[in-house]
Amino acid sequence: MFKSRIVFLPFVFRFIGLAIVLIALAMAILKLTTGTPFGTFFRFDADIRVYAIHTILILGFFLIAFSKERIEDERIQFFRTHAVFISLMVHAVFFFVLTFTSLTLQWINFPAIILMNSIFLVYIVAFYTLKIRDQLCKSTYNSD
Amino acid sequence: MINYIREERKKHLLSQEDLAKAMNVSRQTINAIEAGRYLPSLPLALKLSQYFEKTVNELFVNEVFDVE
Repeated sequence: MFKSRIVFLPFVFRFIGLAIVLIALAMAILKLTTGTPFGTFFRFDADIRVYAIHTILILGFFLIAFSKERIEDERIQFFRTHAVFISLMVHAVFFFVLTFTSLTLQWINFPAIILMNSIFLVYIVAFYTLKIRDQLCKSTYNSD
Repeated sequence: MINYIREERKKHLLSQEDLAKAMNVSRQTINAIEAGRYLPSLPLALKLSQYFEKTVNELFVNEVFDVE
């Protein structure tokens, strides 16, 4: 029988990841308050501090995405698989639209590091949305 | 597909938490199975059938194909 060999981080890493994401967002807000335009965060020629913020954000998202749930069972694996496919589909559509608009309108460039952040972010949002939606779903049975 | 997990659990005087611990899954998974929101995998279905000493067909009924 096929058994997944993906190793997930302990549950506590979810909170460490969240703290790192918040630190990165705080750094980004600090950078914006110094007069840096918001568009700088999406440019190739941004300074090293902007790339550092993106890298710290990736680390935070990575820890959240790859940390276990309190009880990691098959239903959670089911949600993970769906979330991965949702993230893939969203980005496939995004790139299709981006290529089309780049060819017809103007060339749009952004660093790949933003793509990595986006993949993780969409996966995390999709995973927790699926999980919470299932828990909130009204059923014909009452739980005891 | 309908299942009789809830009925069997009540017969054995078990809470969802108790059954979840026995099956090594979360309480939410047992709740989702009983509510018909989630179909268990074959290993979990077999584990449930062994636990309740019933066959899988007695626990899970496919409304389209299975006629009682």
